[in-house]
Amino acid sequence: MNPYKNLPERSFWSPAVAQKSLFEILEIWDPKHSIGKSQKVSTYGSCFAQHIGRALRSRGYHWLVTEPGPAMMTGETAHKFNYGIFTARTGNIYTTSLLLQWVSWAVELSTPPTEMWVQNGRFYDPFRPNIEPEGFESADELLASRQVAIAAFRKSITAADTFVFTLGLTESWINKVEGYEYPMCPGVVAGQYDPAQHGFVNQEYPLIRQNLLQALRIIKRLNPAIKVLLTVSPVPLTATYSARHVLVANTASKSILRSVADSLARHFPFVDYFPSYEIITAPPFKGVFYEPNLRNVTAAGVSQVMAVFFECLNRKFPESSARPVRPTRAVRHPGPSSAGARKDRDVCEEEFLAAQREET
Amino acid sequence: MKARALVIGNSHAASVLPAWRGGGERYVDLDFLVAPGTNLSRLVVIDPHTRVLSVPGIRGAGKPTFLLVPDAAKGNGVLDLDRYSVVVVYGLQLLTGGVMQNHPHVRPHGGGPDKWFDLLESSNSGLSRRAWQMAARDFVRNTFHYNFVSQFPNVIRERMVCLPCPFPNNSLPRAHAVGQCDRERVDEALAIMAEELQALGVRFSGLPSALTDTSGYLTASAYMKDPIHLNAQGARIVLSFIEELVATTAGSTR
Repeated sequence: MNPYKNLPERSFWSPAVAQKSLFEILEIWDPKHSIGKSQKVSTYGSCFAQHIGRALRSRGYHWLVTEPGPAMMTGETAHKFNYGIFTARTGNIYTTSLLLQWVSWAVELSTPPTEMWVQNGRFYDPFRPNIEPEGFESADELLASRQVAIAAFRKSITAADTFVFTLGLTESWINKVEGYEYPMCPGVVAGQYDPAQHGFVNQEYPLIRQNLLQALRIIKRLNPAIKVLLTVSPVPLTATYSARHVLVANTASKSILRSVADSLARHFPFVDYFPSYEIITAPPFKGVFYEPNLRNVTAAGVSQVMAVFFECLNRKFPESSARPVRPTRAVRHPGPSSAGARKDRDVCEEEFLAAQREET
Repeated sequence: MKARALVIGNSHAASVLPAWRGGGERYVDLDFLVAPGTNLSRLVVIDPHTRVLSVPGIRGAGKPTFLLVPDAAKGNGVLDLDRYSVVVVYGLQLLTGGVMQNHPHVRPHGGGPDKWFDLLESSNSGLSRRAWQMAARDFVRNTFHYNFVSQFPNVIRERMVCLPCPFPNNSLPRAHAVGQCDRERVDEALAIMAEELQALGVRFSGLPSALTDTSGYLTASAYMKDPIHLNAQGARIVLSFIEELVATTAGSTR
């Protein structure tokens, strides 16, 4: 007799993983909370987070959008102007410190900086550099738009039942003088990089955990009933400024983020972790869900992630959906079609870094 | 020889008819194809090569579609557009989004949501001007009249003139009364409409100045009590304007 004797099959690698087809590895998440179709879900984070909102909506769940585009705007235009990518028009929130920054603005613990980048007569928001593809026409327009986004972000906390956040990066860029953080290094999408003013910070575990915890505490204070679902983006770094090889930097970065998510999910009942990262990156999946560039996740990969999400959710909480959702045909036969090739392609500011390399 | 033109439109075009029937010296020959309400959508170009327009309901339908084309009235429900040197589409309303129930003038009378006013209001919701312009372009391309016009072959569109339908200020929802309605955005949307139509090869005409007040709204003396359609005075102004347009618009019959 030993304590492993009575453990379920899923506790053992061989029957739960090695002896299964990658499409049969479904029961890898034991959700803490139900997500019913009438429950409102907000989604934010790195590039991968945008798939969750779309998948929820396509399956009849209530993906909360607090900053929608005008009704007469076509989907293509809305996508171009970043409407309907995340719940509010925040752009990518890659780090937990950026999340804390947005949360602090939303509850007026801090005031959004007035910094803006001017390029060819157009105004770019340093905190949402790609939100307007051609920039704003004036400073006033930029600030008004940002205020609307902050109000919508706040509403997405107060009105949501579940807040989904996808952790993406540990590497960050800050304004050394003022201390605030940019989602992108100045000069990549817009603005000018100034070594005297802009600094690189590769955040470590304690800071990342502390910032996330602080952000979630404020969120919980704003909406005591809210549940939080964390995921880690399986999309590798486009580039690193850490002086290490990008492969090593990526492993370190994702490991830290994964650890932080695990820690908070283990310690706080209202926080859960969904293993989208594992579904794409773990050895049994053999990297088949990556594009040839070994970075972008294929449509089949996204579909598999969301199939597992709904499968686990419906298994644990059958009432959350009338129909159990099975992997689609596309999932069973992953082909060359990619998330990046779809009309709803990912909006990922980080990819501008790759363009920097190509320009050199 | 007088130029011959076809005026296609909905009930707004019908409101011009009394002026045409009223007699007097005419400088052009006009035929009217009037399909009230949503019935314009039943008119389709059935053969781009022969350039004829199918007119469902031409036979035996007392209403709602009626055709006032003497020669074609005995036909088989088709209208040869090559008979006309100019085709005027009247009542081209920026004010119709997607489908006809989105008339702005319907909303204050209990109608459905109106995309036109959504568009104007959206300028106050954090939407950048550039995004608003794109939204306005999307809106224009989804208007009923734009879709109606775009189905015609190029050779017809080159002879087309579109006239917007004016609307009186008191037909607007209270929140959009003069002073609150963003006139600048209205004009910008009109300019976008003109651009989009020009891209199709269609000329977009402005309104006769005598029809509108300094704010750009239909003058009170020109519309009926409803207060949507032109009265006799307004109809005469529009008719004269159409005659002038036809006389000055280049085109030839086949």
